[in-house]
Amino acid sequence: MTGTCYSDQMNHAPLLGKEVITDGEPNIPVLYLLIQSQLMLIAGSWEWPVFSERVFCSDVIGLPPQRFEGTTGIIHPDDIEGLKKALEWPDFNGPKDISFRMITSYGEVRLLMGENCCKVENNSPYALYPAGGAVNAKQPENEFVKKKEDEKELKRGCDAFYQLREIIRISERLGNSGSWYIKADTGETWYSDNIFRIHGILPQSLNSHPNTFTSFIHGDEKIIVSEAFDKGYRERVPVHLDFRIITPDGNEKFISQTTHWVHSYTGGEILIGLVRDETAWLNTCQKAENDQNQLKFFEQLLQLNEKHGQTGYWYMNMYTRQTYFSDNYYRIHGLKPQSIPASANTFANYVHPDDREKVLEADTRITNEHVVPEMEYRIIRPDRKLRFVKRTGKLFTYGNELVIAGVIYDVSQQKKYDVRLHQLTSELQLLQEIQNQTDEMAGVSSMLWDADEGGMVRCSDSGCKLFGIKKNIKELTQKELLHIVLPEDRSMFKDNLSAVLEGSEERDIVFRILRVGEVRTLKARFRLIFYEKKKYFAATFQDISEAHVMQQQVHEGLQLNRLLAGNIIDIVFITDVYNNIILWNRTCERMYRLKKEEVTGRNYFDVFPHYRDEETIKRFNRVLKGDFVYEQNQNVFAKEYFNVHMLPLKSDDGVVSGILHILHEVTREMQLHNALNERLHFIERLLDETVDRIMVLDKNYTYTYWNRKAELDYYINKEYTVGKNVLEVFPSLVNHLFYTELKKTFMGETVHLPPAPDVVNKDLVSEIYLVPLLNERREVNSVLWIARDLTREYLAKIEEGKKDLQYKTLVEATPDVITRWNSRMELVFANSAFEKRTHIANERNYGKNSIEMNQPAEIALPWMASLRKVFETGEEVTHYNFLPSPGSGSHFYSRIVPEKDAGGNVVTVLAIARDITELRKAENDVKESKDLLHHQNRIYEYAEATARIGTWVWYPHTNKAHYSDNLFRLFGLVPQSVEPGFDTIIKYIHPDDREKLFKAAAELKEGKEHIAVIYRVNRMDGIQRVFKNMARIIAGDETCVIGTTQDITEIQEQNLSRENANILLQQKRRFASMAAHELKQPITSLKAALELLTTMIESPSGKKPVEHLLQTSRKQVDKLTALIDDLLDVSVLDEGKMKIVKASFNLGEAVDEVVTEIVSADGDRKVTVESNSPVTVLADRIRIQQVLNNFIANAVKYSPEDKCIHIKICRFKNHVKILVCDRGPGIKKEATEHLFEKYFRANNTAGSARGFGLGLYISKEIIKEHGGDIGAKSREGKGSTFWFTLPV
Amino acid sequence: MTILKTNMKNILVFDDDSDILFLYHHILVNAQTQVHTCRHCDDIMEEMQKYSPDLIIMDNSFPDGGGLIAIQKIKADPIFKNIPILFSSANSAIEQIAATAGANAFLGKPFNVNNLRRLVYDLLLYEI
Repeated sequence: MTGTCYSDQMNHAPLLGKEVITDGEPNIPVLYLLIQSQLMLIAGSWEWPVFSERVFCSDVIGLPPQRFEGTTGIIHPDDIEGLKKALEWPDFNGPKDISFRMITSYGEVRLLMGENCCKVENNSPYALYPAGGAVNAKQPENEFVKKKEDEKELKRGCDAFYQLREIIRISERLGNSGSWYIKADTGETWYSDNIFRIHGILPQSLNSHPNTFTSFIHGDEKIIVSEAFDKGYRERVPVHLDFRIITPDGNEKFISQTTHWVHSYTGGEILIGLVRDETAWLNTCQKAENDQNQLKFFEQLLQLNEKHGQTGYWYMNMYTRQTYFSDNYYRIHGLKPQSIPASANTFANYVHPDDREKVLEADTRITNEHVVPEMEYRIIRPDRKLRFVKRTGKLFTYGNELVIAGVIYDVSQQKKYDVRLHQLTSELQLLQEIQNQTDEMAGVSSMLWDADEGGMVRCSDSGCKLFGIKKNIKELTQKELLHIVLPEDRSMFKDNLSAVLEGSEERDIVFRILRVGEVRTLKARFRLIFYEKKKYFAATFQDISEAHVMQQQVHEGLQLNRLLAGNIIDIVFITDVYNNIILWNRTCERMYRLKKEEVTGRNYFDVFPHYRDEETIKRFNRVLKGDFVYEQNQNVFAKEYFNVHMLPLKSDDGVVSGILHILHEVTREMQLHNALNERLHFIERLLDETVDRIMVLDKNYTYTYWNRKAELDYYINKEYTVGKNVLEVFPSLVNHLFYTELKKTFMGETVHLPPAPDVVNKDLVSEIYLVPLLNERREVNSVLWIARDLTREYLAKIEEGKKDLQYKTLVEATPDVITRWNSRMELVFANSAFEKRTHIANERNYGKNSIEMNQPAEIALPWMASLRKVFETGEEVTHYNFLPSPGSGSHFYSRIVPEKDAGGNVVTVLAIARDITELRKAENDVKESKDLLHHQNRIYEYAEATARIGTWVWYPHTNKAHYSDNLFRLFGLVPQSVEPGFDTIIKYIHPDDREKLFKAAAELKEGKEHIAVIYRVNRMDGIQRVFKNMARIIAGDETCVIGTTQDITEIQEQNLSRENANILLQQKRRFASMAAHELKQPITSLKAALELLTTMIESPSGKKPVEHLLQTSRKQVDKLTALIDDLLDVSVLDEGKMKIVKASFNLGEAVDEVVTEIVSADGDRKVTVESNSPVTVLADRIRIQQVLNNFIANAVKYSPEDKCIHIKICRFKNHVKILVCDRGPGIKKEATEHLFEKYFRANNTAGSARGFGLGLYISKEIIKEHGGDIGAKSREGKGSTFWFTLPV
Repeated sequence: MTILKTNMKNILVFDDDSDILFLYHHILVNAQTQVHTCRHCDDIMEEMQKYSPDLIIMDNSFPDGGGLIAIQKIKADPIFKNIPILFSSANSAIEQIAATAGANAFLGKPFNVNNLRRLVYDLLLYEI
């Protein structure tokens, strides 16, 4: 393209729009040269074939400056490079001659030539009008034109002025400065917009006067600034002020203000001022200074850092205490860089506790003395790693601040190596020490030599000792070594040695050496060791001379023992400390069926793995510790019993070296023992007396016991059942549920079957307990089958059920409308007749009053009035028109009867309404029916009350319930006084038993058919009772549970007494053995005496012995009689049939009689009687004498012969007290409590106590029967006093 | 043994029943035997020292198993351990108790007079 596009639009293009172009004088031709977008004005003596004074040339097609007038074109492409070179572009200054060609916008090529060309500066205010002057100069002188020019000039002047204002405004804003002036003569004041902005307010928002901005000046400087300004103004001198201002939004700004005086065209003085906001600049300066400081400082730090490689550094400003830790400092401490704020003690917590004091001390020195000691300490990193660090530091003076910068480096690795090395060294020493010790202890020694070089043999210390070489000669030649070996073994030794040297792995040999004249047997092991590419020959030696001899001795001893042990009939074997069997006698072989060869040397528990239980192992260990173990009646084999002895075998020095096991067969003894136990079986007879049917089955389901009650109830004799299988006796049982339960019992479960028709005799109802009896191995041996007869109770219950049904049927079947209303006039009960009349289900009417039932007001209101009347008066009311009946008039005759609670308050009313016509037709029937209802009701209630049974219905899905009246009474509540339901009664149930009931209810809900729960009740009136709930699910439209609640407190008490029977049984068993002994004793004497008498009759030898023997016999018979009397008394007492025949008698005389009797039998005894007045009592004389006799006999029995017995009779107002005192040894305190218990005998006395221990028990019962008291007090060593009282 | 042998045999009887002691005395005493009786065995060793018996008859019916302990005491004594002891009791487990105590023979109560005599003479002979 050679043409240049030139348009007006392009004239305003932004490229050169702002360029200010000027030339010195208008007529000098100027070349505008635009090369590479840079404009240069070149003046000089130009010769160009164009008419214009100005030529614009560009390298590519470019735009000339604004208002350019002249020739435009482009530089000839061929000349661009040459021109550029000539101008030394872009640094051309001149002067120089230039020539080049151009292509004008008209497409002509012109040559331009210039001499002494120079660059012209283009910064000039006139530059806005660069061509103006030039053009004007060219304009012809013309008046019209001149005028026009003047107008133009004015316009230009105005334009210039505004443009100037604009420029100033912009430059002020950019430069954050402002200007103002005050005309001194007129006082006219002007502030530029930006001054307002600097002061933080809107431009021209305040009136301008000299003091407009005085109030903004900072308070501290206001006076000084004002004075300085005033002074400058007065004296007409310029002022430069730097001060601070506070803007309305609270910012502090630094202001610099310069003023100077000028004169206006009219000569007036004008003070102009330039205000500059220096804040930003000052801040920048400050920041720059800080940055520089920081930079310099970091340089120093980095230098330090470089020196120490991988280290962390820190610094602390000593004045501000500002502390900084480098990232690496944190990393050394195992923390994320700058994760915690830096302060002097940031890392104090990571210092190892032992070093903390040291570090703290150093820190204190840093802050107080400005000294940084070089130190090493340990830190514990958050990951629990221990590191060793070294910290150094140095004090810098930085500017006018004191700074400590320091370095921390991790020396753990180095430290670790040190420690490891130390450990290894000490380990090595330890190992060497251990080696020497073990060598010495084991009598083992070693030697070593370099096999390749065949050098010297090195012996260990003990080796030297073993071979009898001097200790300091640690090396000897092979030849010398061979010399030590006994000549006989030498060749063998040599052979083995060379074999090893030639490559055999290792050799064990036994050889002898000659050492200081004695022959020692040595055991040696040769082997080659390869170590660091060298071959060493190593040998270990052990002196076995002693062991050799010992082995010989032991062998002999063992032979002897074996011989002995083999002939013992007990099982005898020995195990060593490792439980290896080392001796096994012939009986063992026979009993265990294991040959000696099979077991010896093997571990006991390997041979008998089934004995390997914890207890056995514990027992073994106990014996190995030196204890003896003796266990009786161990069942080692299936049928044999053994007494097991385990004895520790001790060596001479007392160390246990084995266990001697002796198993002594006691099978026969055991059998004997069992036979003896069978004698106790007579006690079983006692069981016959119980009211329950008791049967026992052995594990084969064979009857072993069948008591009398069972015989009676099942009409089957014992002989028929005992020894027979249960299915043999009752074949039908196999399909019975009971049989499954029985099987369960044999699995160890105790089964209780609730009352039901008896499995054997269907006529009976019984509750069955099946109790497993365990043998000593905890296996079920037999089953106790207890059937408790409940027939009577059950029949009673059935009867009640029938009554209940009758009553209900009656209520439902009657044509009368029977309703019950509560005090809120709401219906609580209605029979089916009511339903028939209302045609609404009764349930929907419950809880509503008559109005709510939508009955007509004329019927409902009088009805409710009548009800209210009954509630108020408590008297019966007759009422008509109870229910609306379509078609006919009043049909109903109702009686409203109050139902009162115990306090006489009306709780509910019962309304019985009857169709009046029906009534009249059969008035007699009504009366009868009413009577019957009443009667039945009474019967029902009576039955419930008598049986202490309440009945209830519960609908599990709606949780509604209905309780019978008696149920409420059982809980001590007024019948129907509260809403029936679980929630109502639960508070009366013993807290411990509530869970039981909830569980039972849940079970019923889940579908269990029937339940029976026994629980305790704290009645409302505070009485505690035991109830039993029996319930059953009745499936129907709505599943309901019907149940009975029975007060079984008394029955329960009977149950408890049955539990006591067990205790009683034991008591009886003890009593049986005692009785046997006590009865045998007099019989022994009696029998012997009689035998002697018999022999004496054959050969009489004198009168004296016969008399004595007879006397003895009589005494023994008396004793027996007394014992039997006691027994009889007790049995009478047990049955509660003791008869007291009361008669008046003198107590003193009765006492005397007893005393006389006792004194006559035992002449040495002294008994004194003391009485304050003669007393006559109404009592059974013989019984009271029996009591006295017991007391005195006891006193005689338990006190020494020389002590007298004292009897006191004390008369009181209402009773008489008889005391029997002795001065015997007394009774222990703990025994005193039991004195009056059955079978109790205080056995602490030295003298012999005879009797059954029944005397005091009987005495107590007798006195109790008389309504008196009985007791004893005693002090050990002082004597006892027994007393009783009788009412007078 | 350090016991002085004489022709007379000493029998020491322990029983808590004086009637039975009387009968023992009556049955066993004759020209060759002397019978000493004792109603308790609390200081049995003193009694032993006093009479140095050739036979002891011990009843079981002392409180707290006194008879059994007494026998064990005698049998543990180095001087008296060889003196035969006849154990008498009304207990049905007499055989076992006698074995446990270490008695040489036992006699169940009530006994036959001739049986007693035979046992006593057997035991005395055995000692000789």
